[in-house]
Amino acid sequence: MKIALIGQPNCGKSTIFNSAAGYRVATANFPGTTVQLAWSPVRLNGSVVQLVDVPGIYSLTSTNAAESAAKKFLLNESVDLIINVLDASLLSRSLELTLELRELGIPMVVCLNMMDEAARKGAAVSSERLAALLGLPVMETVASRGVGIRELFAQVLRQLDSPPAPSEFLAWHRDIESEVADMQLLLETDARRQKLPSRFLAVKLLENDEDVAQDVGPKIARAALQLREQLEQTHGRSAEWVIMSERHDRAMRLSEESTTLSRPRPNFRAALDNLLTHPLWGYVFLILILVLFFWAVFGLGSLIERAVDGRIALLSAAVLTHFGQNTLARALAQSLLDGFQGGAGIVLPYLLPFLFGLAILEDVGYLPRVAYLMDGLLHRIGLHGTSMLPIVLGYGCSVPACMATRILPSRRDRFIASVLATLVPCSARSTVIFALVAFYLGPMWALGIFCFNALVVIISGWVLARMWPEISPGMVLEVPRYQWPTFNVLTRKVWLRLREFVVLSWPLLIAGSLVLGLATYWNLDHYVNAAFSPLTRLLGLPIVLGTTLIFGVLRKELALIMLTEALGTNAVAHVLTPVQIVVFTVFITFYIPCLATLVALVKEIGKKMTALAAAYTFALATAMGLAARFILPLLLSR
Amino acid sequence: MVMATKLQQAQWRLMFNSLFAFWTGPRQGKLRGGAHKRPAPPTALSLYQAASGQQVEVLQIIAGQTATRQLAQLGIRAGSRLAIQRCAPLGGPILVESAGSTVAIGRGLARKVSVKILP
Repeated sequence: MKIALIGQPNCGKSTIFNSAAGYRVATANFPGTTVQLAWSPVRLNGSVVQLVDVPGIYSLTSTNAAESAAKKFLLNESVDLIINVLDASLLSRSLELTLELRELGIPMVVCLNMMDEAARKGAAVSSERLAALLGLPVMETVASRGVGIRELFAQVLRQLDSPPAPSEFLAWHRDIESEVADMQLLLETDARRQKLPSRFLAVKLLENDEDVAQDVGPKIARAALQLREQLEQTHGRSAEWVIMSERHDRAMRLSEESTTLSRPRPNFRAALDNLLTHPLWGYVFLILILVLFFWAVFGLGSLIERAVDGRIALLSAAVLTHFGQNTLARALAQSLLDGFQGGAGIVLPYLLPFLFGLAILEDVGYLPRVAYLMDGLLHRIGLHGTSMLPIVLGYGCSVPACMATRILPSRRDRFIASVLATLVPCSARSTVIFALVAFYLGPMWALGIFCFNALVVIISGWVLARMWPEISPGMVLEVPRYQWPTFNVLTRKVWLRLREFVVLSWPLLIAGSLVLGLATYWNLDHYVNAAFSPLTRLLGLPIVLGTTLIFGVLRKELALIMLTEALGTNAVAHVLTPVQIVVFTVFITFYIPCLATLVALVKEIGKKMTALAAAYTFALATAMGLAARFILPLLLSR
Repeated sequence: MVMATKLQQAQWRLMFNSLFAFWTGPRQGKLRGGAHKRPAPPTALSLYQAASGQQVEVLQIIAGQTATRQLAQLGIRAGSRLAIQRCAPLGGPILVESAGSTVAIGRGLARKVSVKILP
C-alpha cells in the first residue's frame, strides 16, 4: 500500500511526513528542500502502509530534475492514495495542481495546510464548501504545530479505495470538453491498453506533454496533433495554453467560492522584508547576519571546547597511567582515547552550534532572500541567484548541496553550482577552520579564511561559467514568507544531521586513530609520509602530515584529528608556525571533496565531470596552499 | 603542422573575448556565459522597466519554453496582475507579488515580460 504526499513546493509535505514517520527528512523554509523521494513505513490503525514524501511540483509539467522525478513516480508506480497538500494561503494557485491530480482517478485526500497563515492573510477557507465543489474530502491542518494530522490520517483510511467523485462544477467549456471526449474515445478504442485513465491521457496529449506522447502509437499521436491544431485555430493560442488557462480559471473560481476575505492582520514581516531586501540595508544586514553567525558559532564552540577538552584530557591521562611505557596496549589505548577526544573535544563543540545556526537560517526563510540579493552579483560571473541556494547549503554539508542542484533547470548550471558547492567549506571543514585557525590564531584569521574562500569560489564560478558559455534560463524563484522556527523542529533537525557524525564519522575517526596509532607503533607511517613528501614539502608542511591528507579524503574532520595524532600533541601551536597552520587549513578546505561528496557528485553530474571537478579542486588547493605559504609571510613581516 | 580550422579560430576568439569581457565591457552579439543576451521584445514597457510600488498587468511573455512554464506555474502569465515590490541593485532581480506569493524574477527574464501599468 503506497500513500504519496504531493503538493507544490514549500507547502509542508515533508513536515507532515515527519510528523507521521518521525523526523526522517530535513525540512526548511524554501521551495525545493526535498529533491528526492523518501519512503517510510507508517502504522495506520493496525495496518502498515508506505508513506512517500515526493519533491514539490507546481504542476504535472516538469521544469527541473526534481520535478520530473516526482512526476515519473506518480505516473509509473501504482500509488494507492494521494494526500494532496495545499498551502491554504495560496489556495488558487495550489488548486491548479489538485485539478490535474484529480484526473488520475486515484483516491485522494486534500490537506489544507497552513490554515493559520491563511487566517493571518484574512482568508477564511471553508473546507466543507471546497470539499463539496471538488468532490474530494478536505482536511485542515497546521503541520508545523501538529494540528489536524491525526484527523488527516483517519480520513486517509476512510478514503482508501474510493476514487474522486465526479463534479459538475469542474467541467470545462463545452468545445474543449468535446475535444477531450474525442481524444478519449480514440484512446479507448486503441489496441494498446493504458494504465492511466483515458481522460488524464487525453488532456495530457492535448497539452502536448512529452512524457505521455512517447508512450502512444503513431495513430494516436497524429490524431492528437490534429485536435491540437483545431483548438489552436478556434482559440488563437497553443493548445497547451488553452488547457492551462481553463484549469487556472476553474481553480480561481473554486478558491473564490470557498473563501471569504476580510482585512488582513497587520504583520511585521512585511516591514522586516522591506528592510532585509532593501537595496542598501539588505546587504548591510546580510553581512551583519553572516558575521554574527560566525561570531556566535566560534564563541559558543570555543566555550564548549575549553569546558570539555580539559576534562577529557585529564580523564585519558588517568586511564593511561594504568599502562606500561612503550607497550602495544598503551599505543592502542592512547589512539582509542585520542579518537574519542577528537570527536567530543574538538569536532562536536563547533559542529553543534554551527548546525543549530544553519537550521535557524533555513527555517526562518532567509536563504531565498540571499539568493535574491546575490542574483545581480552572480549574473556578473555568469550564474543566477537560484544557484546561490545549493552554494549556501554547501556550508552545511556538500552532499545535500550537490543534490539541491536538481532544482536548477539547466545542466550547465547544475555542474557549476555543484562544483562551487563543494568548494565552500562544509560544517566539517568549518570545524577545522574554527578549531585550528580561530583557536590558535584568533577569530579574525578564521573570518579571513572564509572571506578568501568566498573570493576563490566567486573567481572559480567566473572561470567555469566562461569555459562553458551558455544562455541559461533566468532566475524564477518563489520567495517564501518568514516563519518563526519552532524549537522542537530545530533540535530534531540538528540531531538528524549530527547523528551522521556520531554514528558514521566518529567510529571512523576512532578506527582511523587506531590505524595510525598502530602504524606509528610499527613505524609504518614513514612510507605513507614518504609517498606524500613531495606535496608536503612543496607546501612547507612537516612531513608527518602526509598521513592526515589520506584521512582527509575520507572525511574532512579526520584530517584535523589526525593532525594532532600525527604531531603527537594537542598543542598544535608549539609545533606548527602560524603560516603552516593556515597553509594546512587552506589546503584541506579546497582539496578533493570527501568520499561521500564524490559519490553524490558522480550521481549528479557523472563520472567524467566528477573526475574533472576533483582534479580542479586538487590543483586549486595546491595553488592556494602555495599562495598562502609564500604570500602570508610577506604580509606578516610588514 | 596542422593549421587550426576557421571554426576553431572563431571558437578561440570567442573564448578569449568572453574571458576578458569583464574588462572590455559586454559586446553586443557576443555569447556571454549565463547572460541573457537576446534582444528585448519591442514593446512599450517591460517588467524590467517598471518601478517598485507599481501595479502592472502582464500583456505578453516572449521567452523560452521552460521559463514561460515556470512563470505560468507561479501565476505569472498574460492577463495576471502583479505588484512590484522591489528591484535589486547591480542589475539584480525584481521581486513581484503574484496571487499572494512573492516571486523573484531575474532581470534578463523580466525584460521579456511586457506589461502595462495599472492606475
